[in-house]
Amino acid sequence: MTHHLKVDMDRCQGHGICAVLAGDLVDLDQWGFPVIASEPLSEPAQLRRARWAVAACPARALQLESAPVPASERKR
Amino acid sequence: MTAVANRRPLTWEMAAGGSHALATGVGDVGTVLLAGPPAAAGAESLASHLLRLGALPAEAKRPAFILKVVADSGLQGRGGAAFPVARKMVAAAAGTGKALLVVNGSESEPASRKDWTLLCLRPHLVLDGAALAAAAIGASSAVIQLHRGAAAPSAALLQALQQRRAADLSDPRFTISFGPPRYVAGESSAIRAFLAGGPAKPAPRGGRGHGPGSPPLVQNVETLALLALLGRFGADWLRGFGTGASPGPTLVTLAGAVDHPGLVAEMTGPTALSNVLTRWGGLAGAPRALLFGGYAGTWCDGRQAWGLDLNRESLATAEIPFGSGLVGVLPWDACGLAETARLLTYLAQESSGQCGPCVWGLPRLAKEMSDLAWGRVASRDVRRMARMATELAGRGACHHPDGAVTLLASALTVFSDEVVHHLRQGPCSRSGRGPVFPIPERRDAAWR
Ligand SMILES: Cc1cc2nc3c(=O)[nH]c(=O)nc-3n(C[C@H](O)[C@H](O)[C@H](O)COP(=O)(O)O)c2cc1C
Ligand code: SF4
Ligand code: SF4
Repeated sequence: MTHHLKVDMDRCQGHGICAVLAGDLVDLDQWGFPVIASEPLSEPAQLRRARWAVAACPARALQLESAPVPASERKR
Repeated sequence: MTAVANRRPLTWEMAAGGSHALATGVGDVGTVLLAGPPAAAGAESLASHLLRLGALPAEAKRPAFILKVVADSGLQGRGGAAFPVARKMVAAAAGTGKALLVVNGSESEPASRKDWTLLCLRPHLVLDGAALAAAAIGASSAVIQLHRGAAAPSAALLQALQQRRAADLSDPRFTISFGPPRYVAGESSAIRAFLAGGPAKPAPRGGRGHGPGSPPLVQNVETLALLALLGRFGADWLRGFGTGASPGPTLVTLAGAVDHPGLVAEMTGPTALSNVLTRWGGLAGAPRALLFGGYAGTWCDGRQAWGLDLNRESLATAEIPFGSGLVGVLPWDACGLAETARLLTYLAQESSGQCGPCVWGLPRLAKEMSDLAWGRVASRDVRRMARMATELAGRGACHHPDGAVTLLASALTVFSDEVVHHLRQGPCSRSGRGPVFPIPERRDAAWR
């Protein structure tokens, strides 16, 4: 599985809690809105922090998108 | 296939609304979508439409048939994103719950007239296509979505629908819906949100107000007009026009410093941009720059673009998205930076106000570009503006900010000489002239 942290920008209120709970995954722009790295989350610890952020977002704007790794990209 | 009777290149003047929109066939192959009676005759009647093209064959309404011809033809959507129609239709046909087709006639692009022209001149082509698309996805009704104030298209449609009812065609139940005349209100998820009773603001994840079942299928007016011909003449016929990757004839609208802004031209085969602009735009040579796609489009240097072919495929090779087919001409006596500043200001005003990066970022980009165009700035200000733009890309719930970012990035590239000049000497005399691309006044700020 690959996991990505995603934000629904039309819901996000710019509370910035995500950047506190998952500082390595989320930056805030100059107006306080999240900028999320596009790379998939690799380590279990990252995944854990992402889950915290999702659960804590007051606007319910964050989610963890998980997809099976496409066969072409799978390591042998 | 000779059924598309009138292959003569046509030049015609729109009668409706005192507008100076024209429609014209370009190149040697003539017209397909715009074939038929001259524009001065107004909307083509059902009788003339059927005489010219024949009735839709009965088998054309079988879902399997439509899905197959659409897939075989490689038809792409004409609302801007050039998305394969087959993929959307197959998904919608497989959906659960009550299916609904939405005919997107919003035409939010302020300078674009192609959908307006089709609705006003060839309403039955659009309605035939809508009937086929509705049949393909099992929808018993179809909504034609227009912006409030689109009087001429709605009059043409009402008359056409009356003719169809009188002729007892087996159409879906058509209704016309009027949305707020805002730029992003023409985006498909915004239309869905509006039809679900909410504000006409993009809501890509559905969410509020959406009932169960699959979301309505939204297709552009030009896409559906092509479907009407595809259902009659087949995939191979359609592939005889356009290019391999972008099959079928294409409507483009000329805008800016041309003889007739709003002129709609039909490209049926490979046509040089220089040919179109000299023949139909009244240009004597390459302009300073071209704006492709729309107000949230891409600038291209005029002399570089002059040698290009005017079709989605060759523009794509030059990394220019053709959006909804706008070709805007910036003359030599205008300032591309000032023009970009005005367009960015317009795009910022048209944000639906939901996403932080769009709400805060676009006005800032517009302000910084305005300072560059009409004030005094230093090169670090330009660097900051460029960095801010790249940071905004992809961060809205819809693609609205992305268009603004592309516009700005392409402006900095194409107008690099002007940037240097403005940095050294401040605004040039050319930045003082009035707009080349008219900015619509906002008559209506409502979202319902
Ligand atoms: C900001 C924005 C505005 C749009 N406005 C229109 C519009 O006015 N008319 C239209 O047909 N498509 C518009 N679109 C594209 C639609 O979202 C959608 O892709 C299209 O209607 C689908 O039809 P097609 O696949 O036949 O092109 C817009 C998209 C965006 C991002
Ligand atoms: S916690 Fe939620 S609302 Fe706050 S900035 Fe992050 S995504 Fe936005
Ligand atoms: S990106 Fe802008 S226009 Fe699009 S939904 Fe968000 S606020 Fe509205």
